[in-house]
Amino acid sequence: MIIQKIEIQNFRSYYKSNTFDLIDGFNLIIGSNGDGKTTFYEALEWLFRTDGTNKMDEKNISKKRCEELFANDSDEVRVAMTYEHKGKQKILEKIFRFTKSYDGEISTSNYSFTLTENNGVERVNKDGVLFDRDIPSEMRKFIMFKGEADLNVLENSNALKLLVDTFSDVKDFDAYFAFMEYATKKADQARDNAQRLDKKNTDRLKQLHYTIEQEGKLLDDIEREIKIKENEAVNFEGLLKNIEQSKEASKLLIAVNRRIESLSQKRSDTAARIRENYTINLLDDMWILIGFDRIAEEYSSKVSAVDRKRRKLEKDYLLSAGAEKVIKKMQTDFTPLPVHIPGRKIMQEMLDEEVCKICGRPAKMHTPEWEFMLNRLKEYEESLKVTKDDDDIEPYYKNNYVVELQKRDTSLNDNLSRVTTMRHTIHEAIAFNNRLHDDIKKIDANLNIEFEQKKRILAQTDGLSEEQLLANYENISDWMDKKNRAENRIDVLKRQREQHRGVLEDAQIALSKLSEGTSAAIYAKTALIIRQISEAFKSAKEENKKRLLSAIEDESNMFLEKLNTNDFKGTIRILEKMNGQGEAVLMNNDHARIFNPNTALKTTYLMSVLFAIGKLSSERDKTELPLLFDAPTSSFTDTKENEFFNVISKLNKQVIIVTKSFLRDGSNGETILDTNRVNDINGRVFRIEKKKPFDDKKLGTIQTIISKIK
Amino acid sequence: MTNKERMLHMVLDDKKLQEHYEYDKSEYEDLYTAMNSENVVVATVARIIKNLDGSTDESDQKKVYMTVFNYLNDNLLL
Repeated sequence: MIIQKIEIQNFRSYYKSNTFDLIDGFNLIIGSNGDGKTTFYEALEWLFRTDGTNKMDEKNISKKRCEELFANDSDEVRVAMTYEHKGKQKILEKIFRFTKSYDGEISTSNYSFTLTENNGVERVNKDGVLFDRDIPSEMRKFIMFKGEADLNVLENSNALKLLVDTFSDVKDFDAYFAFMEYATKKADQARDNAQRLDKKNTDRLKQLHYTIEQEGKLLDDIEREIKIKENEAVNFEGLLKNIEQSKEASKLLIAVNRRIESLSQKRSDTAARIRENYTINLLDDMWILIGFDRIAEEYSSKVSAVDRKRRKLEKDYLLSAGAEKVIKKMQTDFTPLPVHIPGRKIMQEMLDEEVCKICGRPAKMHTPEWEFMLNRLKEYEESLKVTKDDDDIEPYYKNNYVVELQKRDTSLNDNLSRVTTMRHTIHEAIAFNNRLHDDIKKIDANLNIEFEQKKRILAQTDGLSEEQLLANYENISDWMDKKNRAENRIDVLKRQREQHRGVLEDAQIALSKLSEGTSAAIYAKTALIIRQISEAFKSAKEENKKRLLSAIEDESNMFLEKLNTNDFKGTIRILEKMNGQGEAVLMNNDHARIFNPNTALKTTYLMSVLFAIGKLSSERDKTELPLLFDAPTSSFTDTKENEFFNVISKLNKQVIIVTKSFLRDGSNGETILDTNRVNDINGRVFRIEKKKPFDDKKLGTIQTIISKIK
Repeated sequence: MTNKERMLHMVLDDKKLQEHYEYDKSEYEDLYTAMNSENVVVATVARIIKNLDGSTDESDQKKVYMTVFNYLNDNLLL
């Protein structure tokens, strides 16, 4: 198919009638932003719609034309394409009228969509939907590409099959398959009819027919199962391919989650070991007494001072009382130690050990020193008894309160060691808790690192949620297993198929030989030959497809080389899939698939496949379809872009490209056409731009004008 | 080379057919030569390709079958 002319009338910025006369080769339409490039592309998209949608979309009407219409005035939106297809010239035309009412409203009417065929003698008008016969609707996505992302359709496994079927002679075999099936059946019937007359071999014939029937049934079952398993394998492979790119992320996420779980468990175990019930410890474990030693010391010194004062007062009292008895009692001038010092335990200990721990001298049993200590103990014990003083002199102190205080002091001092132990315990408990807090801080720091890592993984997985990533990982092994099982089963079935085909073939040959020497011989031989030719057609198709895929691979790599001179490009491989599907993938030299090539490389590799199919189809006298690209080189560097246009212009294929390349900014901010680069182009070049002047805030002033540059 | 000639070569390329009917596929560059071949299988394949002409029409199938069937009946040496 060759597009000869495109006419666009009152379609958005294309005011009134505009025509692009195209050549069979490279056609370039250059325009800056807002000049009407995409509108050109979308006008064709609208024209090619055969599904009856967007028939009279008011958004498509030229605003400028609408505004200048008088009331009750009308005009039409028209997009038409004149093309040559299989030797016939045709015009595909879509039109609707628009009318302005007195109140300024626009209404639409008179929609028509026609395909006019010029057969040399007369013009025949047909329904525009018949355009589907020239470019099937499912094929349009393989000839029209809006931006580089549209090329992604070529990554679909079924895309290659569709393109190969359409543009190669593989599909031509289908008619011959149908015929061979018909011919084989007919020839078999003729043979069977003739053989019925052969009474001599009736039993053997029956047996062979039975074998043929049974083997035929078995082969049908096997073929059916192969198809089912092939579908399964393709489905699981498709699922695996979809998640292939996220497999690594899934693995990382699982590892991170595992570390987070382990750290969280460790944190919770550590936190559980912290004992900080200090309030309870204060009372239950008497930690409140931690400051007791200072209090005890103060208490002791105060009690001692009181005691000294008490004894002094008592002594003074006794002296002043002049009682001889009392004086006698006071044999010494010094203040004797109170009876309870040292305490009962210490005194008993000194007696037991026969040593005075006050002066450090030995006091053997029954020596005066030892007896003295014994006496002191008795005095102390005596002092604990309530006795009535028979002294004549009224005691100075009637109560022993100070003594009681001193006894308490002694007891408190005896307990001081427990306080020291308690202090040690408290310090250890606090230090232990602090160590655990430090551990928790370290765990928290590690947890933060892991959470950050998790955020990074999730941010780079093309919008997949954590749940999806985890589910994908779980599915991988399951799907892989199912895919492998399906493929293994296919292998087994194919072996069985070969075996049964052999048995069937032998039976067919035996059937043919059985008729030798009879009148049915000629029919049997004919049936056998037709059957064998039928098989040859089948294997020819398979062989042809293999050769074609191999040729596409070779040609694609040649285009890839040209489009990526001095740049990394990898190698295109056509992977054969089940169900006759194939997939063009990009490989590294270590045979690892490159899943995420940069945009320019991806664009060039997919275009290379597209060009290769186009080239091979033209070599096979197949109808070629034009290619239409809107801004296909956005990600290209200038060098790569030049290589691209150079390759395109030598394609020997009709290509229409709308682009803003070849334009550069001038010193005064104006847009300048790079005429040197345009001159290098081998093809037709149009420049589209906004008619000046225009109001940058008023759509009704925008009009695309077209000039043919070369 | 036409598509039909390409198809002829691909079918004649079949190993089993070559073994059974002993022909040299390189001798048949075009459909005309193949149709006039003394080898009935080669001539039959050529007739199928030429006469069917990619048609899926049942009447065409019938016609081509009868041509092929008669040709084989007339030319097969038993």
